[in-house]
Amino acid sequence: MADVPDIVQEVYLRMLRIPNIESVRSPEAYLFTVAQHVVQQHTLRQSATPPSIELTEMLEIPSVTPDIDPVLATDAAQCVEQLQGAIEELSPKVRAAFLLHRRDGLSIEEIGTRLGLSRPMVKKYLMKALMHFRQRLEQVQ
Amino acid sequence: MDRPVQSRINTQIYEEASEWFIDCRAGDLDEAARAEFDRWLRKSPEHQSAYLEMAAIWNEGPILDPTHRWSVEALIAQASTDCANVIALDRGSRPGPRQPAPGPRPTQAVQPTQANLPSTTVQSVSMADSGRPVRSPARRRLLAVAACILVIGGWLTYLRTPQVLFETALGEQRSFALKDGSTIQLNSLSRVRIRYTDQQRTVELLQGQVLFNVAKDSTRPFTVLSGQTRIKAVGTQFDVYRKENDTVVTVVEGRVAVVPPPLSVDSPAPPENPQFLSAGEQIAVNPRVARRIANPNLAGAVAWTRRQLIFDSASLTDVATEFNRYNERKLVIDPSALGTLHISGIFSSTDPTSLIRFLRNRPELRVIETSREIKVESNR
Repeated sequence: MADVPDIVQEVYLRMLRIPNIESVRSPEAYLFTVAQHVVQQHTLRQSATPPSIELTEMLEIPSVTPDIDPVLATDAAQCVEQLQGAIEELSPKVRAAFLLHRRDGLSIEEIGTRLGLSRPMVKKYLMKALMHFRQRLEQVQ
Repeated sequence: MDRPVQSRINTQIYEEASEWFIDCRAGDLDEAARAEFDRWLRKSPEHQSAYLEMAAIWNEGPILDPTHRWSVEALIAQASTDCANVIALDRGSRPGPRQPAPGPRPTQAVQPTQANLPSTTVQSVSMADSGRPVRSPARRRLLAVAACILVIGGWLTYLRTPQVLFETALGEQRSFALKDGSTIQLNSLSRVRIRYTDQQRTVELLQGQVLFNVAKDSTRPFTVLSGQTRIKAVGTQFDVYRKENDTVVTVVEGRVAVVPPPLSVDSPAPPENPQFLSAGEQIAVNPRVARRIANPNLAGAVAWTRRQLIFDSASLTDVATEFNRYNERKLVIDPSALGTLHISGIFSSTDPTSLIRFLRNRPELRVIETSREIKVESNR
């Protein structure tokens, strides 16, 4: 796990070097790109060809990765199991919003209609789900 | 927002991160909001890290209900009977021009799965903490970030510093000097992976047994991983033997902390509960139990470094297991011979002659030697 804080730090420093005028178009895309590059450089020491990645795919790529360090993979698997357990702990509305959106692909609007909720309310429930999951990850040893 | 001091990212940052993240997913950020989001991301590494964690969790969404425990209908039915509509609003958690709500915003580009309705600014949702103490936040954060980088990066193969692998063949023993002045001595059929960074020295015991002689460096803790058991040392000498079911740790000098693995991934993680061991102490750890050995045979534990095996009323099975770690010709104990006797004494690990002679002299046992194995049976 040793390098993770280094990577976080480096991502931050590089992000600061990008002019706002550029990053402001899509701050999220810039964060992901920078993080990707930093991690790639750490990886490069082991493989000669950097994989090329479409930015838009970034959030859609499955998490299965070859040659993952067993400890890291175990940790990640543990995180997923924690998250699976945490689904149950969500309040029914939060669970419905999250699963309908992420599992069943319903849009925020569709969920609002089906559950009789306003769009901002659906978004709040999605945030609430994220916050609960994150808190649950805190308990992973 | 009362959080223990040691929590490095406070809840407010996470709340803000989740809010920005959902706004991004909903396509609700206009130019001014994006500029503000950009400023927010540039505030600190913690802000970025929190955001990446949210992205990682989000990314796992599709697989979080693998058994489809809730149908769409069930989800909707349960939600409609849920009266807990009220979410506490925490005004002011996000500073800047987005507060207060400016009313409907211009619509944004349509996202594939989401139509665009005008929305009012979403205010921060206060997720009241349950008041649980934060356990091992540094470790947890590393995990979360690691998982996150793993996940966001299907592109990521591996993010560590170069690693070095050392291994020994059957009957072989070798010592290696590491660059920090520590030495590791590998017993027969052992394998370790070494990773040194500026912050940490990590050795994974993949197989076998190693005697560690750790050079003091308080700025870079030395950690041995044996399965999911972690052994932490500063400057000390200790032996770690990864057996089939247990990891046995013997401290020769100094002091180490042994952190047993969690009981199971399903159970709530127990607080990290390290066992501190001083010189002369021994512990056997497996996923179920961490058991201190009373009156450990210290000399026996490290006798392998002198190519000796020291037994103190050991069972025939244990004796065979130990011999077979060093010798091509295996000692096979027939079930009929089990429990017949216990063995004490000092033997050469690479030369079983004296042991065989000893066994042959037992009237209750029969020893059959072939080129491949040495079989021990009951004589009755």
